[in-house]
Formats: sequence, C-alpha cells, structure tokens
Amino acid sequence: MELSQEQKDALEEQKKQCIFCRIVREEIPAKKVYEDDTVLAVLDINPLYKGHILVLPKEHYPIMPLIPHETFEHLFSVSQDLAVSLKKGLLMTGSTIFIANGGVAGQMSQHFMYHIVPREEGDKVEIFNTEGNNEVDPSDDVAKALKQNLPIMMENHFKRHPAEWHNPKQEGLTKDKVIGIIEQNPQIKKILQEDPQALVEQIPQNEQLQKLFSEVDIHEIIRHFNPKWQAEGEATDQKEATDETQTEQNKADESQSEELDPGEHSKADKPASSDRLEAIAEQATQAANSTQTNEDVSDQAKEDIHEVIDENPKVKHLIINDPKEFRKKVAEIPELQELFSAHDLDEVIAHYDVYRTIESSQKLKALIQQDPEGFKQKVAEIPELQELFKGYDLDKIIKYYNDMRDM
Amino acid sequence: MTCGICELIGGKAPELIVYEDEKAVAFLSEKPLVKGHIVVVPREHYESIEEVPKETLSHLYFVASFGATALFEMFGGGQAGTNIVINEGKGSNRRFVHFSMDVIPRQENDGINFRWELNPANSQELDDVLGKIKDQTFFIGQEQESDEPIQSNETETITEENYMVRQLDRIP
Repeated sequence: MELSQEQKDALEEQKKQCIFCRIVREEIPAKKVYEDDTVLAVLDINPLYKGHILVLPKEHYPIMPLIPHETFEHLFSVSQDLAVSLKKGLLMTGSTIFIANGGVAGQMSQHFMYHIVPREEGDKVEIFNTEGNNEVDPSDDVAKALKQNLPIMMENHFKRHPAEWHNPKQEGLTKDKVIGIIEQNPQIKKILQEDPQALVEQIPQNEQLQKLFSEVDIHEIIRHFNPKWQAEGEATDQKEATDETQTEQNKADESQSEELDPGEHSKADKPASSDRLEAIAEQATQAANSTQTNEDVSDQAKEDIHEVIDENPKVKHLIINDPKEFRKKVAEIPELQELFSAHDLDEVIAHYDVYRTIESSQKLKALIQQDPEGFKQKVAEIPELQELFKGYDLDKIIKYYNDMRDM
Repeated sequence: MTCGICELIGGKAPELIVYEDEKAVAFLSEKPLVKGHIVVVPREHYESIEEVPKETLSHLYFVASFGATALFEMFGGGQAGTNIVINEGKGSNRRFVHFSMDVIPRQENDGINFRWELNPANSQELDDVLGKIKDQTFFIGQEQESDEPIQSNETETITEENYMVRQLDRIP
C-alpha cells in the first residue's frame, strides 16, 4: 500500500522544517563524526556523556519501520563501527545504543535517529539499566500475542528479503504435504505400496528423495500408504504376509499400468530401479515447488472451505487463536481430516491472518463488536483498512465477533 | 563459564521464547521493566558489539524493530511507544555478558525514565572529543569498499505494510 498524497505532503512539509534535514543539507553546522552517502553521525550538543553521538539516515524517515531495507541494514551496521570508534578513540570499555520510538518513549525529533553513548566502569549513568523488578508471566495476553504475531511478521520479512541462511518454515514438507505430493504421483505411490524398502534404500543416494522426506518420519509415510508394512528387522513372518497381499495388489496395478502405459510393464516386475526413482522424485519435487500444478485447489473449493469454517465459529476460533491445536485436531479427527484433505492447512490458516490482526488490536475488536456500522464506515474511509480487509466480507467478520461475544 | 542466556535459549525456558530463527532469539525478559519487555539476542555467544558479525547484527536490529512494531500494535498505537536499548561492553553496566538488545513497550506514566538532562557542552570540549573520534571513524568502510553500494530507494519499501503507516500516529 502507498502513503496517501496527504501523508506524502505532510512528510514533505516535515522535511522542510526538520532541523536534521537542514544539518544534512549543511544549512545548520554540526560536528560531524562520520558521513557517507546514506548515513550521518554527529556529536550531540547536549551530551549525556563525553562522546555521545547521534546517528541518522540522511533521508527523513519519521519512524523506524519506514526505513527501506538496504538503508536500515547500513544504518545499523554502522552502529558497530561507530561504537568501536568511540570506545577506541575515547578509551572507553562499553557503549549504550539507544532508540526511542514515539514521543512517550523520548523520541524528540521527527527525523529518525539513534544515540550511541560511550560508557566506562563507574560512569554513574544509570538511566539505561534495563533490569526491572517485575515477574514475567509467559502466558499473559501480550506474551501470547507476541508469540503469535512476531513469527508471522518475521516470515513476511524473510519473504520480502530472503536471507541465504534462512530456511523458511512454510516451505517445510510436513507429513500432510508429503502425503499430498505422493497422492498426486501415482508412480511413487505404487512403489510405496509395492516395495517400500527399495525406496528407503534409495533415499540416501537420491537428493530429490532426501529433500522430499527430509522433515518427516518416512515410516509414518509408508504406513499411511501401506498400513501393514513393517520396517526391515521387524517381524519377518508378518512381512511375508504383507508380501502375499501385495502380490494381488501388484496384479491389479499391473493390469492397470498395462492399459495406461504398456512400456512400463516390464519394469514394474523388477524392484524399482534407481533412475526410475530419480525421475519420479524429480517429478515429485517439481510438483512440490510449483504451487500452480500441485497445490491448485480451485478458488471455488477455497471459498467453499471458508464458508464451512465461517459457519462453525468454534472451528474458526481455533484456527484464528491456536493454529497449532487446529493442525493437531485435523490430524486426529477423521471428519476434519476428510474435510481438509484437499486443502493446504498453511493456506487455510493464513487466510485468517486478518482476524489475527484484529485480535492484536483491542481497539479494532471493540469497534467491530460495539459499532459494526461505524466499523464498515471506517473501512470505507481509511485506505489502510481498505487494504487490510480487501477480499473479505465485512459482514462475516462482524458476525463472527458477534457470535464470539454470545459464546 | 556457563552463560545464562545460552542456557535459556538452548531449551531451558521455552515458555519465554517469543521468536527464534537460525541467528536470533527473542524472549520475554525474566525481570521485565514492564509487561511486554523482550530481549533479542544472537543464538551464538558474542560479548561486545565488535564480535557480532555484521549480517547477524543487522538481523538482530530487524528482529528488535519488528518486536517493537508488534508491541506498539498491542498497546493500542497512538500514544504508545517503544525503546530499544543495547548495553554492550564491560563499561556499560550490562545486564548480560551475552550481547543483547532490550525492547521495551512504553506508555504514558509507566514509571520508566530513560531521559537525561540536556546540558550543552562547550565548544572546546566537543572539538576535543571530535578530534579523538575522527581519528577512528576515518577508517570506517575502507576495508570493505568492495561491498555492494548502498542505495536509498525510499519509495519502494514504504508501501509494503499497512502497520507502518498506522505508526505515523505516534510521532511526537
């Protein structure tokens, strides 16, 4: 979303008045400690302690979250060089880096900046001590909301700015996902039903297979497709029994494959060869990677499932407030499993992010419950809210919060 | 010597952890100044700021900044605020030896006082300090000239999050 023209104009006006922008433009003199294309560091003329400096982006940003990614990285990576310079130059043994966001926190200028104050033992600077006398409550509302929201915000951050070292959780292949992938790859499914051991043996030698099974218990996956199967070393007589039942299954499958692809027939008799497995695994991971082919649950189906959820406020409440428990329930309760079998749970859960945003804002929640019409009007008026609720039926949101109040 | 933070993030107090990834962990302060006070630390044990690799350091700031944004949202925006405080090095009277950032939600009359008296320094003092610091800062960035150039593209990322705009309310 964009800053509205009004907001942009206000920002321009702010810049004209801003003392720090004028320092950057050298209209007001300052004692510059460091300067490059993006960042300026100056001595604070009202130092808390000898060597107290202010570090600011040259461009005017009123608040920290508005600083563009690259500027942010540079602005704060310089904090290390500057802290080290202060310590070396002034023979100090520590530093305090201090950021104030908002007037109530001590932000004095509309131009974002941070402070670095050199520190030494016995300096009597006590204001920056951060140990309180309170006891922590890991289950209070703020703690719960943080545990819910911060990981979502960070995953969004990584989506916009992927880091080489970060492996996003969303791409993780959960048991459900792996089963889904296999379901759509009849060949790999067949091997699992016919000769799982061959597959297990291939995994260490096949990168694609390794990837597919890296985050799941392979035995669980095999049992899903082949409930009677036991890992090698477990009771052998039972294995023979399963072999027998499988021979019949084989026959059925073979006749099928003959119809579909006669060329495959001769191969089907042999244990799965490694290049065949490789090709299959390749297909499987390709499918996993392309959201289009594999996860293409039609929009209609998505709408349908949302409708079902909307009609069950309890389920909805669970998805919104405790997605983990929801996943667990889906895994445990056959009816739910059935209901969500064709759906990506991550996607279902993500669809309700907007409710989580509401949950994290008491104000908004109260507005929806107490003044639904006022809420609608606000959404119509405020572009940020419009954006937030884009694609959502406001009446459904209102209904949900009414149901919740009654429950 | 064992480090309390390493133990805490190593699985001793999972209930306190609010966010973690490969490089950073954020947890609820065991001795909070106020409700919602969190601490952001690198997963690796570093002590002073110069030990922290720059990539990790930037990431810690991002986690702290998003933590601040999350707290700001929870405390109702508008008149709320946050402080991020890093006390590093022996001389800073730091709380932990393990490098850490405190993120503290702020409200009117919350009893926290990070303010200091504004006493203008005289010009001679400032020049003296400036000379000593400049000798050091002169070298900043010189050994890394091959790094990618930093570009400021202020219009591009501004647009991404609606909460950013909501936070405009809180500026003084």
